[in-house]
Amino acid sequence: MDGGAARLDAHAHTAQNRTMLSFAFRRFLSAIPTLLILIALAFALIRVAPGGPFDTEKQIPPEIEARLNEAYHLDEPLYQQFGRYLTGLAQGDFGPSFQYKDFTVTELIAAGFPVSLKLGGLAMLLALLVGISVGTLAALRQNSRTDHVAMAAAMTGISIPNFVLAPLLVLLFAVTLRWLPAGGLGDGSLINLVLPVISLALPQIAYIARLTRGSMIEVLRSDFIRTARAQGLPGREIILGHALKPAMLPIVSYLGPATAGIITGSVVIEQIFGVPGLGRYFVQGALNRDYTLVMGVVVFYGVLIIMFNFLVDLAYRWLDPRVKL
Amino acid sequence: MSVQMAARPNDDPLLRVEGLSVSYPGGQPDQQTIHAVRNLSFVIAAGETLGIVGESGSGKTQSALSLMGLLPETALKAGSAIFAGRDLLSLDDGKLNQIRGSAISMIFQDPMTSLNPHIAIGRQMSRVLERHQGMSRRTALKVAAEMLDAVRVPDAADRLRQYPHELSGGMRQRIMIATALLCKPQLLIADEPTTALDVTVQAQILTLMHDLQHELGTAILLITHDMGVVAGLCDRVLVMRDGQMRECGSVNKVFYESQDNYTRELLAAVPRLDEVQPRRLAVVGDSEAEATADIDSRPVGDTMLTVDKLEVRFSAGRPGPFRPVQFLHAVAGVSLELGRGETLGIVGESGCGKSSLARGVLQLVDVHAGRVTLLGEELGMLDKQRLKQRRRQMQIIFQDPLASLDPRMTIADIVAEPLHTFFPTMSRTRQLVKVKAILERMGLEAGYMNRYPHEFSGGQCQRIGIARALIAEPELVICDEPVSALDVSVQAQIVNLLMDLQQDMGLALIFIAHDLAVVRHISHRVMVMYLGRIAEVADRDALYNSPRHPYTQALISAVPIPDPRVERNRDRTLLAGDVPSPLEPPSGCAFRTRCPLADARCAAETPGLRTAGESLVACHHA
Ligand code: SF4
Repeated sequence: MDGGAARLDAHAHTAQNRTMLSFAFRRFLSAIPTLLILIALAFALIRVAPGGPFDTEKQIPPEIEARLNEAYHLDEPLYQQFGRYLTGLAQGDFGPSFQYKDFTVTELIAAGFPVSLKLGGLAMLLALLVGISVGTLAALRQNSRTDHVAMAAAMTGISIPNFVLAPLLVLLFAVTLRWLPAGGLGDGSLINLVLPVISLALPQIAYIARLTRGSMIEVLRSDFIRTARAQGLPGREIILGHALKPAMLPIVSYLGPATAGIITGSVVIEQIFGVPGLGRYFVQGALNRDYTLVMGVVVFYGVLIIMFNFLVDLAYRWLDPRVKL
Repeated sequence: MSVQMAARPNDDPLLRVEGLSVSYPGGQPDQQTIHAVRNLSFVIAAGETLGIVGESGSGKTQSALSLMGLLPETALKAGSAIFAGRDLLSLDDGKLNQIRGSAISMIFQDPMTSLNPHIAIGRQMSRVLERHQGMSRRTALKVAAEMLDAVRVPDAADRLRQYPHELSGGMRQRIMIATALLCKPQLLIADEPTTALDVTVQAQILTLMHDLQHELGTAILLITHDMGVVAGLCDRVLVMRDGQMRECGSVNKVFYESQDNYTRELLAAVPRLDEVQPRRLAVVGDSEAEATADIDSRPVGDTMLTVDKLEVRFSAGRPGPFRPVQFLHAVAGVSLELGRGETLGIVGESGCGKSSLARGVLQLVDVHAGRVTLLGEELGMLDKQRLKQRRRQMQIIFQDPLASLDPRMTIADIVAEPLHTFFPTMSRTRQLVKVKAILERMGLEAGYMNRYPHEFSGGQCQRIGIARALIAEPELVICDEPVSALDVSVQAQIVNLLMDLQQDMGLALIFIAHDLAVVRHISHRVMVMYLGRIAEVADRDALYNSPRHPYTQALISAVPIPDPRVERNRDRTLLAGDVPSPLEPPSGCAFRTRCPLADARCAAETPGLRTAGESLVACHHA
């Protein structure tokens, strides 16, 4: 009898692992078309834009331009270029940069991404920590002064774009108060990242706080919270032990858009603060029509976001065991 | 269950409630204060069971919540509730938390929403022990497993790792009970603990509560609307209405020698399973017995509806690239006939397919196989236009009256809707005349015509729903749980109304309900369904007096009877377990997983319908 139960249990576990694996596999398959569409769109858009990679103020002799075009296969029909690009990608090769002649795009990404990851990761962490705490606090003190102030601040945070916010912060903390450096990475210490991280995180903090407040209020009204109160659990334990997990569901769903927001935000913020991250390469690349660099960054971020969304789905499943993969 | 009237030390009650009042002051100056509970006093002795009964709005749940400090912040409390020398009503949350969940615990109606769906069951249980008894999580989990054992949850240790949605409703309520009992409370408050459960599961839970009380000596405060549950479980009863106590006394005194008009009327309004009531159900506030509309005086005419091997199935979930579509066979080959003026009752527990059958007959869902013939015409063969015309002859009344009425339409427009559809040329004046006439027939004032649904009570909304169903003079009306959401006294009125209307208009009714007593009262013939198939069909009295199918027998024996002497001396066939998932019905006879008579043949062969006694039965051994 006992053995039977144990067997059943083991059976259930392998079954669970199997659904997990098949889920991962399904997600992998469905990611391929998404990625192809993304690459094709970026490829098309960038070629539609006027101008070519070797347009400069100085007139390049036509024969040299022809040689250049040939060297970079720009004289081939578009579909061949696209095919060539895909073949390269499949081997992990993003191609050479048109502008930084001595580097491949892969090398540029490898140089820029760690900086961006640090910036974006810290911003995300900060956004989650502060956003969730403020939102929870506001929910617990619903309709109190704290609540009203926090939500008004959040509303403001959402409505101010970060390219306005960042210069203001620089003006206040770097120029007037001289507490923090205004830009660059300096000696590489974290203090240089404080302002960029805050500028990047603020809109997300605001949004996450509002989301948390709403979902927390809703969760606190549910029957199982009443049960927890009837069990004599103190408020803190009810929040942490019973309410937080379900209240986090909308936040987890928002993580996807939040990452995208932080990535796009970092493009602007890195420019403003002179942080040598991927976003700066992207902007430079776009200005110089460095096709391969821009494409490389787009594809790289595309893969990253798809992977990230997969992780988010797993987290969702952990938070809500009712969700079927 | 046997009568349990042990002598108890009465000098110092476990809980003494005095002058309890709960009110909600209106927020705006023009809003009136709502008095949910007024001046309620009662005592509970150690180890006894006190039932508080009443209809919705009687204040029974508010009283219980106030004892636990669970009322919303806007509520004002007055009076005292002395428990172990302390006044529960004046303790702050911190002090109350030492009592809640440990000396007094509470279980709630809906075990799905009352357990946290996001947290494993073991963790939900261990938290209580860690908090109140300072146990380590390991020890707490061990104690939790023991408690699950005690409430007869099989494979207790495995359950701890599971989440509520993985378990059936009955299991979940057992887990609620086990959690409530973890700290061996002196008082258990149970708020409608079995209302959301199927009747066979309700019987299991009630028996369990009864047994546990004997083992642990816990006093129970049972809040319910069900007189049958009170009759079986309680030592004393307190009847409430409009926030006030009407009567309080021993079960026998209240059931047999009640001094209170309302209590007597309430008891009379409950249809009973064990006796035919050849009369209109008594109506609260109207003690004059009216002319009888005995069921047998309603003549049954020739056959007007034939259903032949009807199958309804739904796809469950989307098909994946590696997974075929799974089908849920809600109705798996049901045949029936219905005559003019006849009422066919359909009963069964959740998932038995009774509602899908109704929708299939009306062609409101895609019929997978089988034929439905109404007045000589096969509905499945009709084109859209013709089917629409036929809909005039067949109407449906839903369970939730308010939800089925469009909140933005006036009552007149709602009721006139079928006239628009089926008689587009009828003038507005003529329509309004008809609406007025039918509303009056429903016992509603003509002045209601320009009002909106939310202004009406549940019973009134159901009358409006019936008016809408009947205005185009249909010949077949399907009532899908029409009284399940209503209070007993309102239920009696609606049932009486339906029986009168049937007599006047010669309607054929299909009456779907899970309440076997109501079905007995209203039906000529009764069909019992289990997992999409017919278990048994018979004339009403044959079915209730000599049920042949083991499931029918169990179902009938599970229904509590609102009569303490009868209820406590019944022999119960308790079914084990819950209804299996209709997604994976058992092989052979669908009932075999719970059937006391099941043998090898039952697993191999699906029993067909055959005659046994006065019934048609699908069972190898009936
Ligand atoms: S066929 Fe077998 S399992 Fe089914 S009801 Fe009859 S005895 Fe029970």
